[in-house]
Amino acid sequence: MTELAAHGIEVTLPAGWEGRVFKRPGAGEVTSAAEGAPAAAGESTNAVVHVATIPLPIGVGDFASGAVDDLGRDDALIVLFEYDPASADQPLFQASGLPKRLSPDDFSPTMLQRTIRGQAGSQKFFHDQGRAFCLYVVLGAFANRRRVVPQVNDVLSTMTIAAATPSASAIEPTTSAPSTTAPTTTSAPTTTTEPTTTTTAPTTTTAPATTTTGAP
Amino acid sequence: MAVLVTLLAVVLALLALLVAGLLRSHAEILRALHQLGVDMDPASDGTGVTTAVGAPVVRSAQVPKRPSRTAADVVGTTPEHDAISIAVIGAKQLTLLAFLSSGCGSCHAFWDVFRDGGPVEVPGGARLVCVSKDPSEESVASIRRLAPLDIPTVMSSAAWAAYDVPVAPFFVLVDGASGDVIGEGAANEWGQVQSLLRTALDDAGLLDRKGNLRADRAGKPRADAQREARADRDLLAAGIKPGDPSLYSLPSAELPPTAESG
Repeated sequence: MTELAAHGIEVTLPAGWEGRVFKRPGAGEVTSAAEGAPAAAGESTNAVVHVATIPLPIGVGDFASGAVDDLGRDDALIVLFEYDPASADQPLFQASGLPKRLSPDDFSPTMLQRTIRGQAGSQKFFHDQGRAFCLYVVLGAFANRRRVVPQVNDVLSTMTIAAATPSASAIEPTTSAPSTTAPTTTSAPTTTTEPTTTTTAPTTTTAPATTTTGAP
Repeated sequence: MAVLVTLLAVVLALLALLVAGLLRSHAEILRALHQLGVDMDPASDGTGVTTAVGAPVVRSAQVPKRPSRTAADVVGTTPEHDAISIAVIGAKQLTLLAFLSSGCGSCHAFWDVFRDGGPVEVPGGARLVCVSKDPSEESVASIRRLAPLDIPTVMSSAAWAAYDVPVAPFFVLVDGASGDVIGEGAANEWGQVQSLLRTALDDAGLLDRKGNLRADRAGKPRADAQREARADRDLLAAGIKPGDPSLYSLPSAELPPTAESG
């Protein structure tokens, strides 16, 4: 069992699972080659969690594009993607609390960012501790969902979300309406870039649970 | 007076003996470190120790298996300060942990190969993971600069302790299925590491008669891996790195027509 904690999110991983809790580099931050370019001015970035039963490659998309192809029939991949906290009170995120118990019936082969034969996905939008999230889970095989989903639930049961620690700049009111930052559909994510990065005001560089730049 | 002179001579002789002993001990330590691939030469330019001309000197060394040691998952932070956990125990594939630092000259040779040498072929198809010490003991900026694009790099002093790493660079090969350390050693060239790994795999009975990983342990088909490696290489050669916006958008010629255009 290993514990991962960063950006106000904690998760305990059973043997055979691995993961990463990260945040894309914000505007103006120094980045490494592995991170890619920082966000453009005026964009904010938030926490992303990837945990899986497969080796996670470097540089996968926010919704794990580049990793799902490697899922075997008994594998699973969990993505917890945070949207801008300003979206937390939007209707899409009205469900409260991280779903810790998924049902095999929550999964569908059509609920994938990119349809891959045999795989299935599930996604849940919710708010927790004043933060807005999408939980996106991919199974390597829809046919094995009854066997694999309990393993997913074991991991989800250990996941906790802490309240965002507002930075000084985040206390300032934003100039953009949060409604435009939330996804407008409940279909599977169709892009690996954060929807929040297009309309968020420059002052809303909220650092969930930490006040330092990206430090876990 | 004669007694005093004699006494001083004896003391001088004893001191000379002591200094000679210390110098010899120091030389033996340096020689041992050199054999393990650690260059303590202050005149070294920091670019590695493989520039000597002449007969090749094998500086790799297998460490006798230490039965008390067990494998452990690698948990730490990335050079970008993110939290990361690498599954080693229970992993379906072999894992090769490369314990490297930013300071040792020999390590730079490996950083260079892993970062700039194209796809790294690891015997047994093992997953390569670079492990440095914690940010409190390492230069994060240096590790960020040295870390390869496509190989996980974890900063974890706990992993160094768990695997009882005696020196850098040091390599540990773990069989995830059994959780056993099946090989470990020091080297200062990637070719030497590959040789050590093949020996370790053979000793562990994981190779078939042709020297390939046994079919029941093989992971992704080699053709897939080669195709991916070729695509990665071509993209990198074109200056397209992970996260490049062009990977996530259609070329303008393929964009759907707008209402105005039809």
